Order: sequence, then C-alpha cells, then structure tokens
Amino acid sequence: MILKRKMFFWSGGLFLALLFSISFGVFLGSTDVGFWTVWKIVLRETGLMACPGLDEADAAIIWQLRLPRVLLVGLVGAILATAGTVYQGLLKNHLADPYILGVSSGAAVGAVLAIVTGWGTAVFFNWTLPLFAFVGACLALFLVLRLGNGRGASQATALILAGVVVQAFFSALLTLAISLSPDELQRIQFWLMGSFSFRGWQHIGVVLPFFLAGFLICWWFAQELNLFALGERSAVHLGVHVEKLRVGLLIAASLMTSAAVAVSGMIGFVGLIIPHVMRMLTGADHRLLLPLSALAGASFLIWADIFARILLAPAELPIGVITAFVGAPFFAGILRKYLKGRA
Amino acid sequence: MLKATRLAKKLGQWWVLNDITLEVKAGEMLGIIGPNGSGKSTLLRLLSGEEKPDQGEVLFLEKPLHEYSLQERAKQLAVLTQEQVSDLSFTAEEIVMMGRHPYHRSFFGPTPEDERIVCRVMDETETRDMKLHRFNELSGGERQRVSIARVMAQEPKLLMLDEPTTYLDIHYQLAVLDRLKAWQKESFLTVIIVLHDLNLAAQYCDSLLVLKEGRQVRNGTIRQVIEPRLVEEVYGIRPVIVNHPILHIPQVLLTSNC
Repeated sequence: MILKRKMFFWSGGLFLALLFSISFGVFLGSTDVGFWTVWKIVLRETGLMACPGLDEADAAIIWQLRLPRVLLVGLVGAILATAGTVYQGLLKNHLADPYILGVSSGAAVGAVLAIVTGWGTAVFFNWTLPLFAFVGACLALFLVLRLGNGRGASQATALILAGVVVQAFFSALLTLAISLSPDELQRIQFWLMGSFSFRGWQHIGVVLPFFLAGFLICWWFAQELNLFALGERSAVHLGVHVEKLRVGLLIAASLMTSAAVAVSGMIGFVGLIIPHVMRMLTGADHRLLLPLSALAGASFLIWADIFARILLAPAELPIGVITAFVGAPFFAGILRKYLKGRA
Repeated sequence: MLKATRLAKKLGQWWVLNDITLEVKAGEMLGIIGPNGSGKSTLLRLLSGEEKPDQGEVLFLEKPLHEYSLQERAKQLAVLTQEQVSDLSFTAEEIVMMGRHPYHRSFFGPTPEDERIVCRVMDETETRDMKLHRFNELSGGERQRVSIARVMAQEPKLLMLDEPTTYLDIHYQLAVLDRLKAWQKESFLTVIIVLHDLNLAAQYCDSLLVLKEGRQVRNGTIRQVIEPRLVEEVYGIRPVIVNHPILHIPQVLLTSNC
C-alpha cells in the first residue's frame, strides 16, 4: 500500500514537473511565441484539435525545431539516469555512472569511428552510429570492469581509477580522430561536451526504441536488481541467476547509453546525480527508483539545456559544461562522504 | 535432510577440503567448528550448492543438490552469508520482503500471504518496530536481526548460517541463537551453523563437526567433541573443560600462557 501511494505521489509530481519543463523549454527561444500558442501548435500538429489562425512560421519553428530538440534532450536525460541507476545497483557502487565508467567515451569513439570511416552506413542506415557506439561502449565497460576488479573496501576506488584510465585513453583516441580529419572537426567536436544543436525528429526515432527496450528490460528485473544489494551470494540463494542477469543488464544499460551518446555526445554526471538524489528521496526499491529516475533525469537535462541556450545567448554552450558544473561538486561531495565513512 | 559423501574441493593445486562425510537429520542443528582457514566457509558453499565439489556428492531431500533449479532450491534452503547489505537506503521491511522472492515474480508486489509471513518473522525477531527505518539508521545488532528475519521469511526447511554471531555483543549472540533454537523446535527447522565460539556451539548444537586444514577431525555429539585432547589437537591450546553448573554440558575455559 505504501509503495503504491509513494509511487502515485512521486510519479505524479515528477510527471507534472516534466510537462512544465518541456513547455518551458519549447517556449523559450529567440523568436517569441506565446505560451498558449505553443500548445495550440502541438495540438494541431498531432491532429488532436483544429486550431485556426496560427502563424505558419511559428508552427514550423515549434514543431520542426524546438519541440523535437526538447523531447530528445528529455529522452537522453531519461536514458542516462536509468543507465546510472542500473550501473549503481549492479556494481553496488554509488559513484558509478555511464560517464565515470568510461562507457560514454567508449561510445563516442565508436560513433566517431563510424563518422570518419563511413563504414556500415550502407547496411544499417540511421542505426549505424548507435551500433558502432555500442561496440565502443562495451569495449570500454569491459576494460574498466577488468581493470577495476578490486575486492572489499577498495572496490569503489579501483573502479573509478579504472574509469579514469580508460577514459583518458579513449579521449586520446577522440582527439586523434579529430586531428586526422579536419573536415569532420565540427561534427566530432560536439561529442566532447555534448550538444543538441540541429537535432530533429529522426534522431528521436533512432533513440526512442533503444530507450523503450532498455528501460523495460531493466524495469522488469527491478526486484532482482534490489536483491543485488544483499550481496551476490545472498542473491543466488534467493533464486537469482546473478551472472546472467548482471551481463544482461549491463548490456541493456550500455545499449541505451550508446544510443544517447550517438545523438548527443558525452554528457556527464546526469546518471550520477539523479539516481543518488532519487534514492535519498524515495528509497532504494528499483521498481520505483527506475521510473522516477527516468522522469527526473528528463527534467534535469531539459533545464540544463535551457541554461546552455540562454547563458551566452545567442551563442550556445555545450550542455556537458552545465551538467559538469553541477555534477563535479556533487561527485566530490559523495566521494568525501564515502571516504569518511570508510576511514 | 542433507547427506554429503566424501566431499573434496580443489583450489588450483590445493585440496582445500578432503573427504568430508556428514548427515543432518530433519529438525537437527549441526555446528561446524574449526580454526581460521580450516575450510568451514568452503564446506558451507558446497553444502548449499553454491559451488560444486570436485569429488563426492551432496544429497538434499534424497535428490542430488545440483539437480535443483536455483528457484526450487531457494524455496527449501536458505543461507545467511557474511555479506553486508550494500545499499543502506532500503528499509528493514523491504529487506525482509526480499526473502519472499523465490515464491513469485514479486514485480507485482507482495501477496497478502507474503505480508503475513513478513509480519510474523519480524515479530519473532523483534524487528517490527523498525520496519520503516532505513538500514543506515540501524545498529549492527539490529541489522543482523533483520537479516535473520529475511532468511526466515524464505520459509526454508534447511537453514545455513555462516558465523551469524560475529560482531554481536553477548546479549544479541544469545538472542539470535535462542531465536534459532525456538524455530528449530516450533517449525522443525533443520540448521547447519558455522560458529567460532565453542561454548555457544556446545550449548545450542545437537552435534558438531570439527574441521582442521580441510579435514574432518571428528563428527559427533557435544561430549565426544568438546574434550581436552581434541581441542588441544585442533586449536593448539590447553583448555580446561568444566561442566556447566546449570546446563550440564561441557564448556571450555581459556588459560593464558603468561
């Protein structure tokens, strides 16, 4: 009963917050379009309501430019927060996050490889970038987990150090790729700090299936994910196929992350902050934590994008700059708490 | 209930366990004792089916243990390892409810029966008052009682515990073991327990298995095991064994060498 009430309360609240964030994100921009006009345009384009007397230029700006961008930002935020929640639960490490684990940089290298070489486009079309990114992400994750396979109290620290090393290596690869192909400079550079410029509906089409599949898989195994907190041996004795589940969920989370990185580049700390805050607010039960983190992650990133657009307007900041400004101090705080707790 | 014949386990080139044969009857409490590194925990891993022996076989309810599916096994056999709960934002009740996992796809939430069982075991372990408390608000003793409630919520026929009294003060040591003893009597629970403390082992167990360097030194009643020669041989100390004035069982007094 408590679970249901909590679920209702939090998911309702966060859903409203998300709607508000989306509206605000769409409303905001260099051309002034009235708040209600925005909603009228959306209602007309989705065919829900006939709204006569709308300006066609406004409609195009909202429907072709702003709305898809904001929705994509929300989708990426939801993916990063979900993946972060899953990584933290599986690895029993509250500092884990797609960025810190090196998954994002691995995915970025994979995607850049696809851009520079042009491989695979003929076969996979729109899916080329996510698939190449996925291979890179898996490679990075594998390296980090192998390197950081420490035991006991040092486990968390070992994992982070391994993440730093792997990330440094993949960042070097990225820089190399940029130096080798000056033509693609613009396109590649945005991977370094993340950006949503010139994103449209087709990018949502690429990311959405990955998010839905990844999220539903992870959510379906939410209770098993809870059992990981008891320790792996205890989970086995409660009937969980620990090894299979761990590999399966790591792949699902990395696949989602790869799709997100393929369209938006490397955006750090979302997957770290959101699960952490939501866990403090609503408890650790992943059946609740996963959907709430996804909602909160979407809102959070939409606001980060809003700030990225307005701080230096009309120029645009990479969105990763905003999340890092918020996230790095947050990370330092958790790390400090963690080290104190162990000392 | 559980029968193991000639178990042996190799770790690399080393035989860490050798030629272990034991039987636990339904409703019995078997204690496994021995010095550090004698293979107690390894033996528990073999007996619980977590690892496969390199030689020998474990029969659980007349059927080879490795033929059970994980879920099927979890409904009959519960194990309390020495692992610590890593996510401290779970509430005590959530942790205990995890013990119900083998019985259903708990994604859809607990059934009334689950609620009833969780309520009962939390009553019995005196943890009901803290059911909405998060784990980081609980003391070590409280956490251990919640963990014990969790394995009992699993409603096992056979319960294995790996040193459940470590880090507990004497009050909680007795409370935990008293509770186990009560369950053993009330619900005919079979228990295999690894213990460090010989005196507690002598008070609570029906029989004892003594390990030293991966070999089974003796397997028998309390009186057959807790005797000066054996304790000296296994632990390398010279004990004084006295009779407990009330319980009339052997107890070990330690004498310093100074």
